[in-house]
Amino acid sequence: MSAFTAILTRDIRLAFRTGGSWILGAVFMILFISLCAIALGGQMSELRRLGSALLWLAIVFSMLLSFATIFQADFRQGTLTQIYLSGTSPLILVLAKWAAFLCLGFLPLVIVTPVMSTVLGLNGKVLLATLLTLGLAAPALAAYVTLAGAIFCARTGAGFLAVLLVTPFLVPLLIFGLEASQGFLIQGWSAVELRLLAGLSLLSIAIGLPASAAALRVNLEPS
Amino acid sequence: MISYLANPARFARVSKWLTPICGALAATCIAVGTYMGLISSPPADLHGEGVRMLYVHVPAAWCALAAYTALAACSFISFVWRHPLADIGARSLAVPGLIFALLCLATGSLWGRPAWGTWWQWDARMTSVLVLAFIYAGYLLLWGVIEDKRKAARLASIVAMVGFINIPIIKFSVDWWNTLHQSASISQPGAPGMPAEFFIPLLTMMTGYTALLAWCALRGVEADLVKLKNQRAPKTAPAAIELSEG
Repeated sequence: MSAFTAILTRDIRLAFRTGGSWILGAVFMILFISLCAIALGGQMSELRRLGSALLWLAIVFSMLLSFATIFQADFRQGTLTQIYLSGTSPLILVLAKWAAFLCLGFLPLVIVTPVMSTVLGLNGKVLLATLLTLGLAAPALAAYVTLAGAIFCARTGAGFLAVLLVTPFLVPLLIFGLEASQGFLIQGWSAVELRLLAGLSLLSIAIGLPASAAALRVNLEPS
Repeated sequence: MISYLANPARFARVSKWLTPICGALAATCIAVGTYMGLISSPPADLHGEGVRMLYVHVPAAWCALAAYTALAACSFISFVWRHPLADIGARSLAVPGLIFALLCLATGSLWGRPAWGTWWQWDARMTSVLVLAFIYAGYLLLWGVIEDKRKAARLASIVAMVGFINIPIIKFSVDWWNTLHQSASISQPGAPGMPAEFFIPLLTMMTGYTALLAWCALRGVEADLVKLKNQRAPKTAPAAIELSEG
């Protein structure tokens, strides 16, 4: 457990000390939403109808595209190999990296989401539904992004391939996330889709993190 | 049986006679099935002549799924026992699997136009086959991108297993989302849910396609084994010294 907290605090401290690149995901999200609004003709009625889905897509893409920040720098410096050689289980390492990614890759997006929802003309209840479902799905999204990061940690310029590799696994999350968002608006907390989304999220974590640990091990061991 | 075939030499001996059998079976069944499907079977009540699409569409869908199941099984064997033959098998299954998935999408689209009046619809089954094609494409690209083939094999097997767990989840979620496609009519209770004059050509075509899939996979493994053997053969040659006057 101490290894977990050590890696987690180290990652967060490093992110704050190295020029704040963690904010770039939020910048990407702002740009994405603005471009969508411009491309859709800026009609508020149209944007209000699509707003929830656009926020979801912006967050999914922002998280997917920052997959390289999770492992790549540490892999190049040899830090990951050192941690691995020190006897820390790869699963703990992956778990800490995943938690750090949730803090650095997802929380800034959560802070930006309310601002973006006013730009899209969403009311408070829709915003609450979107944030709630995103909060439920984010750990699973982060788990699959961690998998992409672990597979491609030894490779630069694998961006599109990582997106292609992980996108199929995100389809159920996207479907149930938006269904749950709709269900919450109609039925409130008792919506069955919320529970389905939570279950799916847990399942995805249970698949994604051990797979990431295995992939990381492949990349760290000499072949 | 798996441990018996795990020896490449033994595998080569088995595949030496199994491959031609599969090839011949595929050729005969597909030829006979095409004749039955195109000429000797009647048009259906609701679909008219369009029902003939059934004989290429359904076997392609079946083969795409069967290939992925076999691929995942090979990946599991490769991941647990690190056997190179299983890696080669998984990779040889991926190419025909991707082609069958694309064939299924193309024929489904051609059939959808007369039957539903649209080339494409975001229906549950179409979406899930499309996602399956994406998974195949990602799997194959992963093999292509990573230079160290031993690492590529292990990473690809991890991706294939994660994909295999995800396929039923994707299927369930898109079913929940949107359904226009008719449900399974071969395996439903009181099967088969169609008259024999459609069922027999369909069964023939399915046998032919499955044999074709097996033939492709076996040929792929054989080719890779030959390549491996040639790589490992020691290349000895007398040292050649060339003297040039100049």
